Amino acid sequence: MSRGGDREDEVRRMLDGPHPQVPADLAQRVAERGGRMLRRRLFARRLMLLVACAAVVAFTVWAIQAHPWQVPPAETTPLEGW
Amino acid sequence: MWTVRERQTGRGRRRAQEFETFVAGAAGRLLHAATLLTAEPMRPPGANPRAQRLLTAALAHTYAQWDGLRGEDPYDRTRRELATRFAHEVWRHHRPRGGLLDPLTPQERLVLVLRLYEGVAEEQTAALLGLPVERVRAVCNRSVATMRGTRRPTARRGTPGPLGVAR
Repeated sequence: MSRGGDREDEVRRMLDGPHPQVPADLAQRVAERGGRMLRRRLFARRLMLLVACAAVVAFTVWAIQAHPWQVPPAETTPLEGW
Repeated sequence: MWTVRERQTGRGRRRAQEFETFVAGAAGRLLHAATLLTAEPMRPPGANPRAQRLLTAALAHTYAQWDGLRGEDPYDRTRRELATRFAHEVWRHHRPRGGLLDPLTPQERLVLVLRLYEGVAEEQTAALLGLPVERVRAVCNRSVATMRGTRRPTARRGTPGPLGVAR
């Protein structure tokens, strides 16, 4: 196991070579892109909320007009005089 | 409404500051890891466009989730995003590009970088990549052997081995 550990250490040292230079405008580029993602997400959430509200309003208006909970009047006249 | 907007810009400014501090501290190491993954050369500056693109995307994701991290380490989150993105676009990274980990396949690079460079535990690496722990261990050992030169590089699709030997 320690031999395995030695081997891993050797490769670890290889990996820890010279670092690449970070571009100076990285943080700014990332903030712009991340900000766009955030705004898009916010917009989508608002749109969904709006659609949900519209659906509730539409259902309420329909329910008030149609009274779906009332039994519809019978369409056949009852037979009399049998 | 006015106060809400005020609070939002205040939060935005604080997020921007916190994020800038985080990037200043973490970008160097993350870019190094990304450049190892894409097997691009470290020098000269700008020789690693693919790694930069990968890191920008992962960091933007962290930025967008900054307010919802709930105590989770942003570095961990970004590293996970980086690894997942790399795993999804592995097919783009098969060709050697002159980097240190050129002899390894993209999957071997990913496991090696997570395990040895980033020091992620075997179990976590396995969970992140959706592989069994034994497989992660096997791939890691294989990569270590290849890097030390005690094993021939894994034959890859489309690219013949170093000596042109068919497997």
